[in-house]
Amino acid sequence: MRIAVFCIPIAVVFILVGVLFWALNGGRDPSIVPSVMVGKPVPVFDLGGFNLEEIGGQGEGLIEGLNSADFLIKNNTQNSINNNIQVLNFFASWCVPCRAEHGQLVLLAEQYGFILYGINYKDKVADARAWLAELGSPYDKIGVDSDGRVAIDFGLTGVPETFIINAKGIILHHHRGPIVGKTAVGNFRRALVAAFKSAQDQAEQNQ
Amino acid sequence: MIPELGHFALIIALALAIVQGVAPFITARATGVSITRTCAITQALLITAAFAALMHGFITSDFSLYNVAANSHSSKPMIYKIAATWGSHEGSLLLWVLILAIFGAGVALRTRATPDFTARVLSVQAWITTAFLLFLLLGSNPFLRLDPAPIDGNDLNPLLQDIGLVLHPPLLYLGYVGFSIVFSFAIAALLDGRIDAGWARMVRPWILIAWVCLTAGISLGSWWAYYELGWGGWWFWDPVENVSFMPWLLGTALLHSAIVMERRDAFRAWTLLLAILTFSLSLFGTFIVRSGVLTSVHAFALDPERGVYLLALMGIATGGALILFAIRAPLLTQSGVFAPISRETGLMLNNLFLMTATLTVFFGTVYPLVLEALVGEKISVGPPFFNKSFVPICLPLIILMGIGPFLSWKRADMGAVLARLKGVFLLSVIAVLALWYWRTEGPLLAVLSMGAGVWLFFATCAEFARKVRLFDGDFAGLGGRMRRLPRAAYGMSLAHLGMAICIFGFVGSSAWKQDATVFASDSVGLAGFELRMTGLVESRAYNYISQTGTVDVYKNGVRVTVLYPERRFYLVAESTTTESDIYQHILGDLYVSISESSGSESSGTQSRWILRVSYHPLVNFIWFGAGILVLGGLVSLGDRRLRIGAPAGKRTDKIKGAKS
Repeated sequence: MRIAVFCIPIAVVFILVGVLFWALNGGRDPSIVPSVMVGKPVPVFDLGGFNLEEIGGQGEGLIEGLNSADFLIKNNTQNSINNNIQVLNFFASWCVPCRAEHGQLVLLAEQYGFILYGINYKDKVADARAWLAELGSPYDKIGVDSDGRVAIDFGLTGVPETFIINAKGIILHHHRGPIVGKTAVGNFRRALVAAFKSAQDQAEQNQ
Repeated sequence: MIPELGHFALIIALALAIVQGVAPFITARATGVSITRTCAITQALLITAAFAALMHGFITSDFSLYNVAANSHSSKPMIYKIAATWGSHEGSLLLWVLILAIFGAGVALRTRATPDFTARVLSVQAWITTAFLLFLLLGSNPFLRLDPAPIDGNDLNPLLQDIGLVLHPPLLYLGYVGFSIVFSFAIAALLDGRIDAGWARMVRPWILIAWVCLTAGISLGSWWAYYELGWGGWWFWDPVENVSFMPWLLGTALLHSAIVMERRDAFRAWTLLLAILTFSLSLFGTFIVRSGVLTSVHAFALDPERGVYLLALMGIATGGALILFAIRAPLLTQSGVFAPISRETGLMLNNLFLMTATLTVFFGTVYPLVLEALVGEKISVGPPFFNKSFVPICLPLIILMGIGPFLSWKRADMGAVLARLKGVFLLSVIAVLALWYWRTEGPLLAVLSMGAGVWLFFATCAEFARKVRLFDGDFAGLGGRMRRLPRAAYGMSLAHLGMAICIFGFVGSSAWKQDATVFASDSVGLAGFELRMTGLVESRAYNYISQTGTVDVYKNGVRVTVLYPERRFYLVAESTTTESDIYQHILGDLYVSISESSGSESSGTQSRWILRVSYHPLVNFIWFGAGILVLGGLVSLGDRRLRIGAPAGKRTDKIKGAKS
């Protein structure tokens, strides 16, 4: 009995060493936070937008707000495949990495021609407007999530984060952090290409 | 040439360590004793020489050394060149080995242990040194050369070019590694099979030295983060902080349980287990910090390969020690008997609470890893967990700290003790009620913790007053009584007072911290201060552009100080840093920083800036208290009975009589 008690610490140590050994191997990167959103439909939400004149964009009136129904593309035979892929980017004017990412996002949107939506996260409307006026808005629609409610449903850990979503409103990829630098841009491009590929396969099946 | 000499010195030291490790087991007794001593001292000298050789490389900016090229720069101030010696992984490991060897030499030179036993201790210490020297020479050699040598070095991270780096790592290491000698004492005793009060007497000074260094190292680290790095806080429950805090908690438990073992020959198994576990946690800390299995705000040079070696080392040392411990279990029976209410019970509870606190921190630190290993789910455990679980465990411990010193050994009269503490209790209750009335918005736990701090402070004072019979009326004899009081008693009182003062700082700065963020064109009132930004100056330093705000601070309409928060843009790194400015006074710190707002540019320059102000009440008490804590440890170390190398003390019973 006494010996058994003395053996407890030994057992604990060996279990711990085992766990730590596992933690060392398998190429695991502790800084990667996996997403629970991949494979799930876009959460239900409905957000208002900005006044377009105030942000100095072309055209008039309000930029439409964004809601979850926007992600369901109805007649996908009419559109090109590229337009079946949607990208949703969370941004904020106070977030420096968002500013860094902005140019890259514009470039990617031009190159691939996907639909780009934005959600303005926990921002003051005036600041966000000024930010968009300064840098230009690549977004087709922007939702204003001033209290961060919708961001919680998306499982956001911070800004910027970017989601790749298919024509059925299913989240295919969740990118955390700015799309800046070789590795991050490479990963994002790869995820985009995979998304287009699956959209193409889908379109062929439908025909 | 000099680096090669350093390299050779390390190799010879390794050979000596191996000899030292096996000598007591294969040679005749007397030979073994003299061999281990000589080896230990020579080894320490050789490793010192190697360390000096590396430092020489840094001082002379010898960029043909890979380690120097990677971590230094010719234009760096001299003190940071020297400090860069232990700024890198290789250098800090060399420092680790150096401290191991110095502690070994310390034991060889001055100890009260029998020569036989000293040889055993030194041999165990040599096993640890051998393991680390092998690691250093095979996996992380600081003396690697570069050919061709670069013209200049890569420079050390600017954040690390700070007085904090000069002092914080060596002190922390002294603490971490100091527990190695305690571990060696424990293993030697277990091998010998002789575990008694005498063992505790020999090992106590070493525990105290390690504990003092660890306390100083941890508090210096938090001071560094708060003042110099401008993290805006002093403790973040980050894995790297936790792994340094756990040996401290267990070391504190060990410190107390060793007292019981020395005085009453009780708690044998417990003390030995703590001695083993404290060093194991130090190894665990080294592993966590160096392997990068957990994410942390503290960045270190990481390498999983090294992690495997450190893990193996930790597994063998801890596992082996615990197996030995289990085998020797029959020898570890309790001998000193004591009543349920006694000093022993008090110290036992102290140990239980500290152990539970350690387990809580340990659990919070490794839980994300274990969960990921078993379920594959990634989570993080943050300050809310630790604040909710750790603080409630500490509250009863602090209350107990007030009562414990009043209890006499073997059997105590709880009624009499509580009667003595009536006044202190009343004072604490009044303090709690007053605080509750004054600061109703604070959490209840914070108010209670403050009350516990007041309790500990005055209970410690009352206990000291009782010991020197301050209120006896016989003031003439007071000086004599105070002189006769052993230094250990002063040390205990000081350390407990220091803890109480720390508590004021911990609780005050966490529970009643105030923040405000405004546009720089507005003035802001916070914690009785009125702040107004009056100007902004742009200037150019050698590698950055600085924008410095001028912030006037008023209190009751009188200008008390001017603060200069700064924003720096580093041209080469293209990064911006915030240099906050702090108005320090005894009741709290006013922390001011500025940042640029990208908002409307039309309305003047100043509105483009945002002023962030926060007030940390009582925060300076933390380091003041920690200073007293360290002082208490040092005073205790000066006690006759604990002095290393002093002749064996008188029978403990006599001293006990003098004390109680």
